[in-house]
Amino acid sequence: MASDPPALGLYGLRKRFGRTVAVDGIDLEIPAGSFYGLLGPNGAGKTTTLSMATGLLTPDAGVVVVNGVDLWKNPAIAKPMLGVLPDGLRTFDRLTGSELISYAGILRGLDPDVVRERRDDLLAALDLAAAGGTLVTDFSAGMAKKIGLACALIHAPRVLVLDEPFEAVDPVSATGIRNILQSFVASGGTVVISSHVMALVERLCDRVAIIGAGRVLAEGTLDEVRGDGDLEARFVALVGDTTEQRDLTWLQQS
Amino acid sequence: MVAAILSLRWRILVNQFQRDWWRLVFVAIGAIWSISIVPALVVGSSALSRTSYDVKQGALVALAALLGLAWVLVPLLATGVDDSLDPTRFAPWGIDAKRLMPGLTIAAFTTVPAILFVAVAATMAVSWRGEDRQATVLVVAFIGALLTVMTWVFSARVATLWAVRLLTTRATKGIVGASAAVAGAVVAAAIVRVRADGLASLLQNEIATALTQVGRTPIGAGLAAPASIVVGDEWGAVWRLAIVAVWAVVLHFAWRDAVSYVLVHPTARGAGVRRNRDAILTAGRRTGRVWSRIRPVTKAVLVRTARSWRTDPRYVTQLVGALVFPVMVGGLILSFAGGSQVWMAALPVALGVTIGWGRHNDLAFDSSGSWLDIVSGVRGADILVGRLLGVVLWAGPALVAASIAAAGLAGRWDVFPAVAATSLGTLGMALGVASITSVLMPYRVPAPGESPFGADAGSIGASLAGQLVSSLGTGVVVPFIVAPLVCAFVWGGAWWPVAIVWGPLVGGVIAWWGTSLGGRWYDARSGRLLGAVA
Repeated sequence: MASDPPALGLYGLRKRFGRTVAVDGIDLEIPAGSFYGLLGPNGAGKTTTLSMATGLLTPDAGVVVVNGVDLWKNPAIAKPMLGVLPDGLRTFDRLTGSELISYAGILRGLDPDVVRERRDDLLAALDLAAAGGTLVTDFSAGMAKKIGLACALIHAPRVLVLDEPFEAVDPVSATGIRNILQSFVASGGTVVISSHVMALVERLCDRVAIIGAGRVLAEGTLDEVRGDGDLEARFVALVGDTTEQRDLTWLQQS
Repeated sequence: MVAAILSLRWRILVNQFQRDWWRLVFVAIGAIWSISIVPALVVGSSALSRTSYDVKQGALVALAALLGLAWVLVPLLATGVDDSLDPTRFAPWGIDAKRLMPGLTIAAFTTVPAILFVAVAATMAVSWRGEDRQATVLVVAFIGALLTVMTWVFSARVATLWAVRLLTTRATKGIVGASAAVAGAVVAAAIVRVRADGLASLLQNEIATALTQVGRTPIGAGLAAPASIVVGDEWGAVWRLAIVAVWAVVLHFAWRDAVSYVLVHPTARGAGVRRNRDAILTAGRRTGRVWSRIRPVTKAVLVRTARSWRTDPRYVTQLVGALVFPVMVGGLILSFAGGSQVWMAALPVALGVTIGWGRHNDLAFDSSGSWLDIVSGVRGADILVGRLLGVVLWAGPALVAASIAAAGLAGRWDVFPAVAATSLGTLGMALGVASITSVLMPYRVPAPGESPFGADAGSIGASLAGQLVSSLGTGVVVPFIVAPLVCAFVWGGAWWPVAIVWGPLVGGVIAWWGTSLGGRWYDARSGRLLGAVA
């Protein structure tokens, strides 16, 4: 019997912007039901990779497969299986929080009554009930992140791709989000997150990949990647180069 | 600080051209256009120099009033102005307005329009040669011209910063409504006067009196001052130059005050508005003959777009510009065309074209919010139709109102149905063309929260290319829609009913075709669209 296809498969992904190579041949297979962490320093190509993996950016080369469906050849079948939270992108900020979630639900083809029910659930679960009537333009960065997450969840996708989902989110809300994501994975869903926070990745993820200069430097289960040490030490060993770090003596106060 | 700001501006330009060298081509075209008007200016100045001093004074005051108005309105009504030195960009650095102003002031005079208009004003000053006491007259003329240009440059900056401030308050709706009411009252009054006295007599009597008065205000006094020397009234020249100088100082203070305000007040927040009704869901549940025919996604996009047109400062400025600019230009043309009926009918038709043409970069205004549409896998055509309907919602009634005004001005109520129908047709046609160009040639616009009057420093060349192509596309199709109306005015008879049917029919077909084709390209290019606009 053939094994199940990966929830998200990236094969030979490449992207170049002018003379800069952002992604230089990335191959990753993210198993269904896994909580997957994508790590990398700033400018490593994480966001570019996730953009290509979710249909936001056309790759120069390579294939993206969602549960066995080629995303770029059959977007109408593959996209409904994905829930996406991009990082650093704005949204339709003249809608209220409630309206934005409803908008996302309607775009996903849900019935208005279903949308209303799920919208209210999401607002309560993400501690946004009080902010439902506020325009998104007046949201703080953390609230905008949470409303983005609600938009990604509303159609109950099979795979969640979340770029820096905990950035700017307060600890109480972060706990709530962690619980939602962990129970989603426990029920068979797949979560892919990118993050710089090693402790968070170690706590949540069962598999990780470390990306540097647009390539995969290490990939596997959490234990396989971190080896005997902790994840941060492994990460720094793979991508960091602190030997040349300058001592900013002029910054010292005494 | 002056050197730092000037070198910053220079560095931004150099980096921009190194990144996209082809933008130099468009800058070169702009420079060639600027140089090409020099001969016309010289000829105008030379012709003016042979007229009597009072004719010269009237003409120059009229020119000063028109150009002064243009300097205030163009940056407000036309987006795409280079905002690389937008004062809000200096906010994070903790520099106060007092230290910024000298650099910003000098930089304001290094732009192409400022240099061009200094040349224009200087050329006009030369037209005072040949008068008695030539040396004194020319010195006064040059001082007056330079002071006048200073007031133009400063007033443009003050108008933009104040407008941003007004548009981001709760009072936006009131301000836009009051402006529309005032504009409507002015048009209605103009109709009544033109119908009563005729345009020729109005121009002869009222305008001449008005010009004399404007020559005593800071708007025209700078260019009127040399005439005082010619008639031996030295004090007249002195006080005229003095009020322009004082006005320039007042404007500069107002500019500095506005800069220090924006440094600590980020723009385009929602002014604390709360809405308890979910308009997206309400629209989704709405039934009825028209609503039930619209696809749910299109309805949601329509509601979202309509909200933006009402509340987003970037859209509100586009809306006001789309309505006011053509009416102003049309009014100017009409004042020379002598109130002929044909030209009256052209106004709403042209308005339909310009409103539609103005949407040629429509998708970019969604900026990075488009990611939600793209990851949801929605059909591009549904998005484009929703956005198009969001425009029709306000532009349709505006065109009908303009047609009523035009019919009233011409005194020909019988032409109203055909003019209104044709203008709606040109709107549909231009929106159809815009649906295609906004997918094929998008360029960056101010993101939500940025000044609505600016452009991304790197987008100037791309915007010119997009505007050129959409102008060509629109220009090719316009005659096709307008032809029956023209025939109706020339031959009358059966052409009138033909024009009533033809405009909406063909406009509708082109709108449908444009959104279908644009939608297919949207689907095919969705992975590239975000990179182009976000």
